[in-house]
Amino acid sequence: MEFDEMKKIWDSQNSEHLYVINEDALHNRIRTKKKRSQQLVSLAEVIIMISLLVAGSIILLANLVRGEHIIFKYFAAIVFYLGAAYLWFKRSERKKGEGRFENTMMGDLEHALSNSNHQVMLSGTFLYKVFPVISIGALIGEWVTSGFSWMIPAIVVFFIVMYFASRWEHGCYVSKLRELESLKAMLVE
Amino acid sequence: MTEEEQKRIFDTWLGKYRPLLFKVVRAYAFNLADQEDLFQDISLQVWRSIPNFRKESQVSTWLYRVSLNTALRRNRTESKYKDNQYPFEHVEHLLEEREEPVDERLAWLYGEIAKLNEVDRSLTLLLLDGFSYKEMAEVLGISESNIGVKIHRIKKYLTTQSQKFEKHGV
Repeated sequence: MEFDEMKKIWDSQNSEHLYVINEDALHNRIRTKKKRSQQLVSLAEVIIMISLLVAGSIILLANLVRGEHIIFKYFAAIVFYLGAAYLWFKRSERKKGEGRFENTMMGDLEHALSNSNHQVMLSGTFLYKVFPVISIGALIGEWVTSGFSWMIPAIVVFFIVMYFASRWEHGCYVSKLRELESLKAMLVE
Repeated sequence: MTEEEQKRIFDTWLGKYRPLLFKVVRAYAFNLADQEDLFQDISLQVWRSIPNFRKESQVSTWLYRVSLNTALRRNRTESKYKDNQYPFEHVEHLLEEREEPVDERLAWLYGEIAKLNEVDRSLTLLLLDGFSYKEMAEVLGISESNIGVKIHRIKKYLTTQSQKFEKHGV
């Protein structure tokens, strides 16, 4: 066989599909991914809300018990409570929207994608918006109450480590989202 | 580039160039579980590569570069775990090879490509898809003259093997 003939055989693939999609297996995998993404996003929301409420309460109680009445700390506590309330609102919106997906393979896939997008939005918001505010707020708070102490560099190191951990976590959620998108690409002609 | 633009390009590329990606998948992964994993890895890398695409080369050249690099990197990593490579045989597969092969000569060709080393394998895919020496050099990062030598050797090897194939059949 000459090489040109091999090339003709090779080119024949362009008009034929090498693979067919096993739709039952794909649907099962999508259902599993949808369930996991639902559990994951729900757990993440609850953990972040509890963390914000606990952090706000600690700041508020410490301010009240010590009788310091520092305005900045009251403000910080309110910001944490508002953050928790906003998250509760977004969670309710997400839950209300769950009914709009059809009970089909594409519906389940869109649902899993929507959950995954929500997860990426949550982790992205935390990483790029909430995290810097908390870090700067904690540093200013420490500075205002105690001046420069060993706590300042300790807080800086803590937040640097937390930043890289959060970035890694965000990357994991983005990868999961891309996996779902590649499943969709496999399915949609 | 907005995420919406990136997604639109991703959908277009995966729709239009899916056969190209499947060729790389089939040439570098030899069971369905690996083929699915590789397809997902390649899709992910294609997504990540979109903001870096500067339109200096054709989309097909770019996609070959991304997918071949992904396949090569994955093969190197996976080879460390070769002994544990098939623990998921019971898992339902998403991709199924066509029951009726398109052409048994095509299956033979893939078989021969699989026997080549990694660089020659990449080169053969590009050669069969009609890329120029310059484009091949761009994708693989080796000189055009080196490519010329390798291609001569690959063509000779495939032609010799095809004679055996035609003589003995499959």
